[in-house]
Amino acid sequence: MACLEWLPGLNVLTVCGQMSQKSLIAEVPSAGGAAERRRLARCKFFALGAALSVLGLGVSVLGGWLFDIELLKRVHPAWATMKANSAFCFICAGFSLWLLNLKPATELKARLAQACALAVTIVGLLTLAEYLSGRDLGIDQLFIREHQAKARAPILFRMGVETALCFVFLGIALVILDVETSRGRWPSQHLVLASACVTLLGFVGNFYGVAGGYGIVSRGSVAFHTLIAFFLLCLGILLARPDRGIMANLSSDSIGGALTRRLLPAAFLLPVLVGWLSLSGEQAGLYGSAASSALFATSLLVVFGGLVSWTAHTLNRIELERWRTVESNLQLAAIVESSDDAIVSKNLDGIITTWNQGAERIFGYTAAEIVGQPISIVIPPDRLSEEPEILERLKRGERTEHFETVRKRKDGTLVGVSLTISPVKDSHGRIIGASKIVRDITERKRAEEALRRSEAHKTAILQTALDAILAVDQTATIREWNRGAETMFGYPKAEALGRKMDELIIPAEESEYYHGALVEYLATGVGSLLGRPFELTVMRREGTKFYCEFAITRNSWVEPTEYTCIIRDITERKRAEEALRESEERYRMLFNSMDEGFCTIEVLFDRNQKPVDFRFLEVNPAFEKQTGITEAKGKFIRQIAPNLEQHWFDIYGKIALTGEPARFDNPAKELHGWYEVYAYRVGRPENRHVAIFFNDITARKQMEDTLRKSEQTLEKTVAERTAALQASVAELEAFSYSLSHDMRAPLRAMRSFSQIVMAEYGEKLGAGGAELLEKVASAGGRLDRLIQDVLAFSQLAGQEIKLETVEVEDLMRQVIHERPEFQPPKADIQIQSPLLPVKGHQALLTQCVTNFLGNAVKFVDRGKQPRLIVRSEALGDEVRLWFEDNGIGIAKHMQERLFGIFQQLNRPGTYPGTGIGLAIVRKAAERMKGRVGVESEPGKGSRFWLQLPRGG
Amino acid sequence: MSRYPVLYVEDNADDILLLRHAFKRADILDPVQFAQDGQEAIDYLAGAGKFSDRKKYPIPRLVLLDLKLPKKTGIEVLQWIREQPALRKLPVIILSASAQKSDVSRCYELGVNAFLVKPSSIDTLGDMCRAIQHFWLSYNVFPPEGSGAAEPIPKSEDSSSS
Repeated sequence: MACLEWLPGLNVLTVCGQMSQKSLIAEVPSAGGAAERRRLARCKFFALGAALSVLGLGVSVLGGWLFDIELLKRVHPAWATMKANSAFCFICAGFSLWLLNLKPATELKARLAQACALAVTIVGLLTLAEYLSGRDLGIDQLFIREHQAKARAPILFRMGVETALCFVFLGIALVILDVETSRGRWPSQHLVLASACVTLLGFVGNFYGVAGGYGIVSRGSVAFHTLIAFFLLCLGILLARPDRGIMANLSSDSIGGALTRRLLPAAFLLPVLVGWLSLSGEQAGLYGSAASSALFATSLLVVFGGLVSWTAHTLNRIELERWRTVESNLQLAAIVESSDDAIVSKNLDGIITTWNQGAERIFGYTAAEIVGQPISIVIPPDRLSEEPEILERLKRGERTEHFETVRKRKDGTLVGVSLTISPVKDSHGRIIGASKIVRDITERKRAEEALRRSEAHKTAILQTALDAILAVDQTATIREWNRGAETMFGYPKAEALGRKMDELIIPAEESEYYHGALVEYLATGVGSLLGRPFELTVMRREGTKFYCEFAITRNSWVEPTEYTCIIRDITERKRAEEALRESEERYRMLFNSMDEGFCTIEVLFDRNQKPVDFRFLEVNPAFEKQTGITEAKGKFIRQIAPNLEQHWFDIYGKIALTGEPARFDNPAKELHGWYEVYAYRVGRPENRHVAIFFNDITARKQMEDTLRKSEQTLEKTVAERTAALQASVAELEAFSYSLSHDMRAPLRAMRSFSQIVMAEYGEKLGAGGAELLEKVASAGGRLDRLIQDVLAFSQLAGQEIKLETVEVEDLMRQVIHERPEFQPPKADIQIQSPLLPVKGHQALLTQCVTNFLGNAVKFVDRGKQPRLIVRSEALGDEVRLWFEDNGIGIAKHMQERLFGIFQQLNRPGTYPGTGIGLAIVRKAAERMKGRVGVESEPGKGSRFWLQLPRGG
Repeated sequence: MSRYPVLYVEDNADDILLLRHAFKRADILDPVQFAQDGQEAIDYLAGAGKFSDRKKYPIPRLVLLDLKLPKKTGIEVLQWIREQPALRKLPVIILSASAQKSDVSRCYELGVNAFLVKPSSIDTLGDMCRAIQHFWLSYNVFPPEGSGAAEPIPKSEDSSSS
């Protein structure tokens, strides 16, 4: 880029700018560099100077004319005079030019300048008109004293045609100095250049000694100082607007300007010099005019050829550089375009000027849509204040680096971004805008977030672990201390970090062991404690010690190598282990000392899942005693007792498969005995292990057998006896049956026939006879009654009676109702209601009641009305029926015999009765699960009672 | 006087005599036929042997049956009677010396109409016969058939005996 060195201010971005669709710059490259600014300032300054000098010259010449001072008119005696009008024009032009260059440019100045320029033009036009028309308009003598004017021919005072023409051109040029056509052209320059050509012609001609005017238009020659003045004026006008038209070319920093500035002097001077040289040679006689021209042409040829080639060379080099630059710029542009990041430029008003593909991708707007829009279009409303801040910093020339914020996409969604904003300067170093690199940091943010979360997660894991997790370095200094460690040992993290581990948590008695291991490790690099857990006593802050499980592992992931220690409080575990050990002990003891045989077996099945064998896994000492099998462990039962009954296998097989425990007795013939067994499944179902408790119950079984046999014998005996008993009962029944039939029949005959005899032959017998017959009949009657009572008594034994609730009161009333002898006036029987119901037998109870009532009625003093009170009394769940009479009473010693059979306590015949009545009552009461009794005293009546279970 | 007798089945001569007396006392005018053992009773009712002469030995309309009989017991006779379609409805009254529960039960099972125990006193026997006469022979409506070929005449309320 060497050539660029002398193209100061040329900026890459300028060229880039050329690549973009709208450009910051005008037609002529101008970077606004400092050099250019200076140049422009200098031009303007020179213009001003020129204006003033022209003005001065005009003033002096006009003064010369006005005051008739030759010197001023000619300046140099050999020179022609500058005419007065010329001077006037020069004054006006100079004044105009000066006004136009004054800063600030006001309307007044412009108008005034234009007015002066107009004056100049008019003068020139009039003079030309004079020449053309050949008439004198009288203007030439305006400034000349009268006497002078008259002295000469008027035409002498007239400016030359060329001069007039120049004034016209220049005048118009000055009037329209600031006019620029729509296409950026500057019309004034053409007029100025035209007059400059004329002027130059005069100059060079003068230089070469050509006679004035070339004889073209006017006779006279143009005054030299007029020429100078014109030259200055042209220059001045051109320089007054150095950034317009061709002047721009000249003054710009571009290649064109630079070249022009270098070439223009050469282009001006060299031909003149060469011409002068050749002319001089010709004038000196060295060679003829043809040769002179040839020389001149050739020299020019060479010079210009050289200039051209040098220019071409330079241009090529520049072009090359430019192409390289363009290429690298293209590359840069491509980089910009292809960048993932959005690269956006904006101007100082915040309007977006460039928008790369990355930006399209990130924001969703295409370049066409968004260039020309304000940047705020992508700023979310809550962040709009960022933009003015950024612009402020920009204006100060500060970069904004990696500013994390949020921007808005075309679809409205927000995107997290990182902005880097740099100011963009033009060739003059002015900040004209900003370039922003916008990086979508959503992914990065997400990754950061994930990382942070993962970090937090890991930290949380460490912190929430119950175990103490430490990291120590090679010198056993604590580098990490989690919350578990804080809780376990009582040291907060701040205190623990930096301390040596053994100082903090290893108690004195362990430190030797610990240090030994540590030393060994440091010496040999091999740690006996590394990589596998070991148990250690450690110490809390307050000095209490406890058992822990220590695990140290090497952590080579960090630099320098660290060691991770995980410490678990195993106090509980130790306790549990101890308890387990104790329980093991107890179990062992039980196992060995128990009387019952105990073993565990593994049941073996054949292919069809039928249990066929089992193997002893464990047997206790009592096993041998009970079964007589020694060294059973590990052996198969089929080895020991090949003919063991199948039912053993079936049962154990079932237990192993189903898990249902079983309790049973079974014989084992080969082992000569019976066993009482309780078996259940142990361990995992698929292991098919069964535990068996058993007892040899052979002896017991034998005893049971014997017992059963004797029971059977007993039952047989009982059955036999019962049969015998039943047989005798049946005999008895038959006896009583026969009694009732066969014994009563003759009795019937006896009684009845005696009665018939008495009835039919009574008168024939007489009183004695009748009385005797009467006795026969009544004896028969007594016998009949006796037989009936005996029958009743005997029947009581055999019958099966069903006990049910009997309403005693109803029964009593019925009995009384059926017998007239129990009713008044024969007897007075009172019932004290309510009589509680009893559980008994209706018929038997009736018999009892009848007997009691009968007795009460019978055994009274002669002539006394028998009175009886019947009442009931509740005694627990039994009822006692009282029969209280006013009879003759019973002496104490008689009472025992009262209920015996055939007991008549009085002389036979005193009171009617068979003597069986109360025996029957007692028997009946017994059959009804009750009792009878009496309370009595002679002469004080009797109180008989019957106690039976209470009825429902 | 009805043509149909009462059949008394009894082996004890004394009892027969007593019954005759009792009937006389009770003014029972129905004729009484006697069978002295179980088989004779059956023959009578079946009209077998000498009893085929129904003029002499007409079918009874009431049977008084003792239980203790030779050859066939009263229960057997009763059972036989109840098995004969023609005699099934014949009213039978047991007149027994004792009332053993099993006997009574069995008799009622076999469909006996009443069960009486022979009283030892002639007076009571007389009352009993009077009662039999009133209840069975006066008030009772006999079954329409089955007591032989004869049709009994249903008695009206103001029964005039025979």
